[in-house]
Amino acid sequence: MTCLLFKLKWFWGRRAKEEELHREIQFHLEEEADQRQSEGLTAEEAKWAARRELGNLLLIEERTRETWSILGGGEMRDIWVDIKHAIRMFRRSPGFTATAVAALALGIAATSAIFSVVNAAVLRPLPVQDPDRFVVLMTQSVDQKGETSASSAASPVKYAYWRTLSNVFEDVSAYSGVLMNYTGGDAKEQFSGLRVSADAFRAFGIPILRGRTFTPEEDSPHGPHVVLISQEMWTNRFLSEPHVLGKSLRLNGDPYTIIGVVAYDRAWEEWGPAPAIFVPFQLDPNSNDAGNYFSVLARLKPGVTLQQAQAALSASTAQLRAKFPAALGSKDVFTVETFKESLIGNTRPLLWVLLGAVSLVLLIACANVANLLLVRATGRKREIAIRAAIGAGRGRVIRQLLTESLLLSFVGGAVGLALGHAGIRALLAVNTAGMPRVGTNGIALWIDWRLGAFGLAISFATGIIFGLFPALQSSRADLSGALKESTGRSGTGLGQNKTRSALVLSEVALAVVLLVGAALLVKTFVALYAVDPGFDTSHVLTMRTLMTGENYQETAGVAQAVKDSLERIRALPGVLKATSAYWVPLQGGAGFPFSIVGRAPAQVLFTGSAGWSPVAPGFFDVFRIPVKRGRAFTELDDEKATPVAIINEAMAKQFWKDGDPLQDRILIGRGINRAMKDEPARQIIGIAGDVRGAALNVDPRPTIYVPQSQLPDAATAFFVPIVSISWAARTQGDPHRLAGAVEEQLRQVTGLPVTQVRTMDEIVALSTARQRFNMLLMTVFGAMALLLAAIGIYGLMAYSVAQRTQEIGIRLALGAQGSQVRNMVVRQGMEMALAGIAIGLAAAWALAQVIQAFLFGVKPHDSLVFVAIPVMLTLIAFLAVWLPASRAAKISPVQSLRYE
Amino acid sequence: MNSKPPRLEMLQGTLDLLILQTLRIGQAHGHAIAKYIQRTSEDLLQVETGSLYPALHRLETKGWITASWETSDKGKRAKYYKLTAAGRKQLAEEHSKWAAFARAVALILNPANEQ
Repeated sequence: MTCLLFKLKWFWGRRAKEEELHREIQFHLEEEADQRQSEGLTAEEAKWAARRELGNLLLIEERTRETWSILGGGEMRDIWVDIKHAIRMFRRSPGFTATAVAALALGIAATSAIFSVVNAAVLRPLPVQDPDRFVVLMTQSVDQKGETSASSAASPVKYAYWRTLSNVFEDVSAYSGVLMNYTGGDAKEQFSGLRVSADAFRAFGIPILRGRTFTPEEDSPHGPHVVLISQEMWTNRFLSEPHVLGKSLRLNGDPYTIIGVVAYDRAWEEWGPAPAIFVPFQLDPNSNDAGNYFSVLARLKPGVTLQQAQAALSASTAQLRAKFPAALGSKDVFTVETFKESLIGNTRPLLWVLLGAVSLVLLIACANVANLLLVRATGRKREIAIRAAIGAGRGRVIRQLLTESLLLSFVGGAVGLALGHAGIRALLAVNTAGMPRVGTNGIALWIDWRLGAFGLAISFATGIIFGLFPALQSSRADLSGALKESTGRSGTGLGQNKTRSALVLSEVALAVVLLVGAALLVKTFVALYAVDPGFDTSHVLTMRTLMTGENYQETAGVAQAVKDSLERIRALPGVLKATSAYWVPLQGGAGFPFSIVGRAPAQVLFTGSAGWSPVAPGFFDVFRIPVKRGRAFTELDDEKATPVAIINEAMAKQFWKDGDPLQDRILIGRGINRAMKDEPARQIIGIAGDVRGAALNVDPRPTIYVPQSQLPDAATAFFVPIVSISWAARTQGDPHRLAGAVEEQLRQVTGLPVTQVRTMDEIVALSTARQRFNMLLMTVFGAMALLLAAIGIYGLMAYSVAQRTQEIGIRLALGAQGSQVRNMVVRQGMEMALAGIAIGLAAAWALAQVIQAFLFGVKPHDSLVFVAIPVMLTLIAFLAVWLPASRAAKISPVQSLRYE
Repeated sequence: MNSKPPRLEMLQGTLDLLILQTLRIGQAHGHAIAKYIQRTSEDLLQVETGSLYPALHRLETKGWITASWETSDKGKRAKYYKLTAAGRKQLAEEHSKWAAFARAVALILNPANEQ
């Protein structure tokens, strides 16, 4: 190492070194002459003798210098010379250099943008100890269509059972996000944090700055109110006060004792905003609660493999089922996967497709630059021939040409890497699209050694890909031929144009593939918005309140606050209707199994399962959901009235193949957990239209609506602290204008902070973020491909016309019409373009299946797409060919014959 | 020219050994090194300048000798070479290698001397 540094220092201090060597040899000469003189020669004779003795001075210096270079044989110097030469060449043709660098930068920017995401999501190790042993325990179920899906939602019953599997797991921990109202300060605000079991700190490796984590007693049911706060809260709210431990923080109306401070860790930014508070989960190990409302993580015991853990989970669950019949569906099984896999599993196929797409963009860019180099190579034929003639071997010439292309690719790579990284961060700042591990607004896309190595590798690879072929070709120069050419202009044979046509043809083909993919995703996005969601999204303002405090422990208190708030909101000018619901469409929800009263009980416990949505009167009006049969809820459906429910059409169709739902009563989630233990049988009073409430691209599922005011107290007590109640108002004009007024009314009535103020259109946009992301990226890539391909066609045709100026001139002189010449050029160009389009279409047809999973409302082989894209490309290609062709038609025969 | 005794071709790598050995005595410039080797070998070995300087620079690159510009006894600036610790070690190694080699060759050429 030191030796290398030493050599490098020598390398850079070369000039001084050479002078020194010269002086050293001079001294030798003088010394020799002195000696000769002392032996009796005259001064002149002595000098000549010394000179003779020494031999070839230059050769000695040369051979000495060679010992300096790293490779020992002057190769390092050659590379340096090559680089200097390349820089000189590029300076002399700034147009070519700028075009080539721009094309490469575009291609590499696209590639490194996607790689940034792949790196953050897939390649980067999780910021926890032993990430491979950090697993999530899940339940795999089979839906009515027979498709299996795994869910990490876990119940206290499952949690308790998994904790018994201590031979394979340790630190089995429950966690869920939690929102808590802070009402102690001047401004009402809400903290978001984590509810975790005691072992979670160890399992996650959550670093503690001060104090301690929860004791098992604090994590028991009815344990004390304790909290750990984030370092940020400690710094900002408590001004880093050393005696913060033992202080009290008022959360959800109760005093919580601060027992610790969680250290800030930048690596954790990838999960999103750092949790402000950590509260103990306090799950009852003897609970029979089978409601799935949190997640469970664990660590594999040392030496236990994932397969062994899976085997332990797959072992008989008969005992569990016997004890808790509602805990597991009949076809449910437990599964385990690493936490990392559970984070990225769904995104991986998308990332690979995007990576594939950017590789195509990069290939097109390479083809473009290769073409540019081939054009240049024809111009440099004589230069290369002269080099060969004075003794440069073919390898030497190739090396010099490759040095040039590598220089281009590294400059393009540096620009592209910076551009791509900044670009993807900018895109994610607008729309993270649910990408895992990228952090809030993509801030966790850090530049690390992997990205750096990728940049180097991709620059090197592209430099070789686009440089090698032209280098091989032009180094095969026919010496005497090239030297005899007076101008070097007519040096391009048919063979080389064929190569260049092939390159342009493949550019067009690749562009077709990308554009077909982009068009399919655009159509998907259009189809998403064209789908009838079942409700009117426009002019609806929503916001949420977490109802905490003494007044909201029972249904009556919550119902009264809702009633008061809605009365005030409805009185606001500009508000047409107002309602409240646990969840508005596209913003989450819950589901329960249910049974129909009076139906012969099947072997299974429940008739089926359905979405469950407690709503206030006016819900169907605000969202303009039609009530197809029966009636909507009114203020009269309160806790004293007959318990009622409204179902949707999907539910009616699925469960009342014959019979009238309005004659039946249903029991929802009876006995599944403490929330539903008092749930009464409800009379079905109406059938509402279907709503796409989970996502626009998911078919409506059976759904039951119940009046909020008729929930059993147990259900209210269970849900209200963990689900922020949503408010929705249909407004006249822009909903945003009313946000302040509605918020103020809610604050006055409830005394609680208001969060997530959004219009329904914004919620729809959030729910389609991923599709928008896909469409946007693919459209950008498609546009790049199109641009590069168009430049490729234009460049080739313009060059070929310029090359054939004399030939065209002769044709015109012999009587050809301008239009004939033009048509000839157009025909030749279009033949090439159409061949590329045809090949591209075939490839796109074969590849379309790859993105099927990301499509909605459009088939992979959509006929419109497969017609429109080739038509568009044909038009663009025609334009790119027409310009040089019409220039050819205007060639003056007289001038062209003089043209050199 | 004719007055000089016949010269010996130097074996590959021998020059390095001889330079190191010469510098064992103290620092010297290139010309002095060449003359010393020539004199000490009773003019049997002639150091070609064309080999000497590349060899000196190679040894310097390897870190076996260091160089510094100093004033010669005649008052001129000259580049003096000096043995480093690594060079001393290398010399010892080369020396024993050479001795072994010489002994081996001697054994073959003069089998009678075998003990």
